[in-house]
Amino acid sequence: MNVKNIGIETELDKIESNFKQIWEQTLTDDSNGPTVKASSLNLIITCHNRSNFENIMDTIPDITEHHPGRIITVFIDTERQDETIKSSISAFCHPPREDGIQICCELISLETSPEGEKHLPGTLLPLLLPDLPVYLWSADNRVLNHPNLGPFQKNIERTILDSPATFASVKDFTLFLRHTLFAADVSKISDLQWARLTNWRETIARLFDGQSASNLSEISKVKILYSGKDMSSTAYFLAGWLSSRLGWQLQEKNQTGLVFSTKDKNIELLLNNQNSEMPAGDIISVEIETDTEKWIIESLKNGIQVEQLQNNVSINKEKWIMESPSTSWLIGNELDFVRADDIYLDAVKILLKLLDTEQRNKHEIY
Amino acid sequence: MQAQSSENPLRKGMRLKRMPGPNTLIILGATGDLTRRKLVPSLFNLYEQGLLPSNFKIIAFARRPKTTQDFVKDMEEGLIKYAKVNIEKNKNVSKFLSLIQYHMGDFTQTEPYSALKTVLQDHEQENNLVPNRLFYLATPPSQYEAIIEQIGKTNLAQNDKGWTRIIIEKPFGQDLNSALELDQVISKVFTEDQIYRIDHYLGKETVQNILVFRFANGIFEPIWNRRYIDHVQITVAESIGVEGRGRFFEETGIMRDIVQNHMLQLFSLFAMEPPSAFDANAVRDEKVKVLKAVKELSLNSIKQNVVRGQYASGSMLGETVPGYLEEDGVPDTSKTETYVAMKLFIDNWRWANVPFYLRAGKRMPKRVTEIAIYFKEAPLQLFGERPEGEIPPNVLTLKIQPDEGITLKFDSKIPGPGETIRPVTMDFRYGTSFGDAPPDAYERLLLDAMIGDSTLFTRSDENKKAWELVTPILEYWQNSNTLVPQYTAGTWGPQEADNLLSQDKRNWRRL
Repeated sequence: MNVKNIGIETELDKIESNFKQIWEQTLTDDSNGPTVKASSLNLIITCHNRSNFENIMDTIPDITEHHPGRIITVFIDTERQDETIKSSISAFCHPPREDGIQICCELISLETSPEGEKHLPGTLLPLLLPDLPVYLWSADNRVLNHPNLGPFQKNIERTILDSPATFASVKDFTLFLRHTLFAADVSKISDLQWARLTNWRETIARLFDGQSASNLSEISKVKILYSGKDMSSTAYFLAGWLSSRLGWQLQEKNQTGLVFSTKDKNIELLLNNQNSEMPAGDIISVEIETDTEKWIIESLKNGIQVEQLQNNVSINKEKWIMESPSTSWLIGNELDFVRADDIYLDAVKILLKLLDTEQRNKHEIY
Repeated sequence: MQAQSSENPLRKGMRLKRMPGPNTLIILGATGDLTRRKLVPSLFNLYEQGLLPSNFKIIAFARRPKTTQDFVKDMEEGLIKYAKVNIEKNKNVSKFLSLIQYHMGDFTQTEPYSALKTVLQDHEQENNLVPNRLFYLATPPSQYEAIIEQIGKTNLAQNDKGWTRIIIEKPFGQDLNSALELDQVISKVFTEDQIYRIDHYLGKETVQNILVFRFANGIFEPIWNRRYIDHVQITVAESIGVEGRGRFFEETGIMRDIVQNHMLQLFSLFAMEPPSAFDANAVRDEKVKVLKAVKELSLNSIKQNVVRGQYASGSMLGETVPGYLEEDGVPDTSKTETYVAMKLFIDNWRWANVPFYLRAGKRMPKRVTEIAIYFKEAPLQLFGERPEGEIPPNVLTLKIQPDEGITLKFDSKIPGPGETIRPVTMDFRYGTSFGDAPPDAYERLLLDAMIGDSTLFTRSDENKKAWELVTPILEYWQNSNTLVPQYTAGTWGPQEADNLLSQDKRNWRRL
């Protein structure tokens, strides 16, 4: 990536005029071929963890390659005391495409302290390119229940969260989901952790395409096994998704797991964990059973393996290569969608009921 | 677009890019230019985006004696030349090329198909795959019949466990009768839902965007009718000549090569009514209705409303280029048209009395495909008496290629004390709005065929209606003794084409 004018420190009220100057120079300098400033969106990225922030900065070239626009990064320096907001700007261009054209974008970097966060809404609003969608990627989920950033969400099309892979307690998980639902009243919500589940959802959905869809009403047992000792958000999201999509009503938690029902039958759902080499929270396997059929879906290094059994005899085994998507890919995918993700919200709502049931069972108080 | 989403509740809201299940692609006529230039580069792009299924395999079936290694080498060169792939730096190239297996055989013999069946079964058994097979006929049309017959004879067209589909390249016939005959041959072996007639124009982003532009934006559809639209001009212009393919072009001409398929597809997508759903049959039903509603071309109206032309030698970009009759493989007496212009009317409520002017030609000054919609003038000239044409009409242009985008031309006051009015434009360009250039049409269409979505493929009745429209014109020309009007290479067609519009007090758009 060809970055022009890296990090010119700029006063906040000079950002637009300085950008104008940069572009006048950049767009007339065709030593690298013709350049085009492209703007399809505004993306605000907030973060308060230095190393996480550096990783995020690394994803920006990939994201803007397919989603050019104005990127505004906000780093909250928790070690700083003063409430000023420092700003710098840069214009950057991607390597020329096949047709020789270089696509260029704008980057505004803001840095402040937790004390200065109260000034952010008033700083960000005038910096947004008009009439283009605004996305907020809250990489550390700080936006949830935040006194300043929370209300700011009403100005944006979509908030992108990344819920933790694991939660130490039902209480923490429940609180997180409640805040997510509150935020969903103000802006559309995406969760990268949910997005990472897509390969699993796709694999399971594929088992029931076409004529096999009739098997869905025959499911009697689902077992989800995940890695680590703490509660896995992805495993629980998967359970929430299955039960919400298939209209299962939560009945009770018994000694082995959760019991759901449809008008015809009961369905047992087990969420088990075990230590493994896989990262904590990752799903190890999913087993889905009807009276005669069983599907064992296992995670592989570069994909997923699906085995189908009929009356306990293996009749088919397939490996599906599915790369784990990168963060920039996931973000790009979120930027392509404007609609609210009702499927995700339905899963969150069911999940809250499910956690309430677990909580009653464990007598956790919060 | 995906039929399965309505049946499987788990599919709802799935945001993964559409991916086909495991399958094998069999390209018949794989040593031809299409495979190297379009199919393999498109498949490679799909592979790079992770859109090809696991255990995907390409079987390249052709007559020439070659090894898989030789064939792969050819394809590697194709990737360098046409997909601009850096073979040394891109690690995916060798992985992708390892999916290809060359299969040599005579298309007219049964034995190579039996051997192909064994290859397919071995691959499927070895990898525990459902036998999903996609045949791609990349051969000259003269070989379709023999190939389809052999596929049927060796029971390769059906299987109990998986799906079998066949993609057929245009032309789907030479006229109405031969199209019906071809349909008959294919339907003996394949059912209509297995047949994917490919017209690569439908795979172009800009063509698909016609429907989105019309039906996703509230402001355009209300004015998309005879009340507001004066006329429509559809242009498919090529700057190249026949490029050494004189013999081939002699059998087709631009009417068969461009108008019967690409142009009528643009025409019907532009003019169709909103479909009841965005699925294959609903969209294609509406397209067929447009073709059915086109006012029949009588002998007299063909004489008045259809113009043909043939390019003569001329100068293009500083170089002298030969005329059509001087091209290799073209006889001196050829009457084959390299240019067509025609005026059509659609007899329905929406389009009654709105002329559609269509033109397609070779050796035009530039390569451009677009649909230009001319709106009616404002009802009152508020800004004083002006000579006719001084305030040009509003024109909305859907630019299909190159320079893909949409432009609206409207009138604006020139700053200053006077009342001078000048047209200005508002532009949308794919490059500046999305960053990415649109993907190649074949990528989308290959993927759709693997997924089983036939929305962007031509259905049998569409093809038949298109032939019904152009066949009387072809027959009239064939029986006519009149000379084919000439136009100088590098110009916008013969004078007769200009007259076609000037008699209606209109002009072709200057491109």
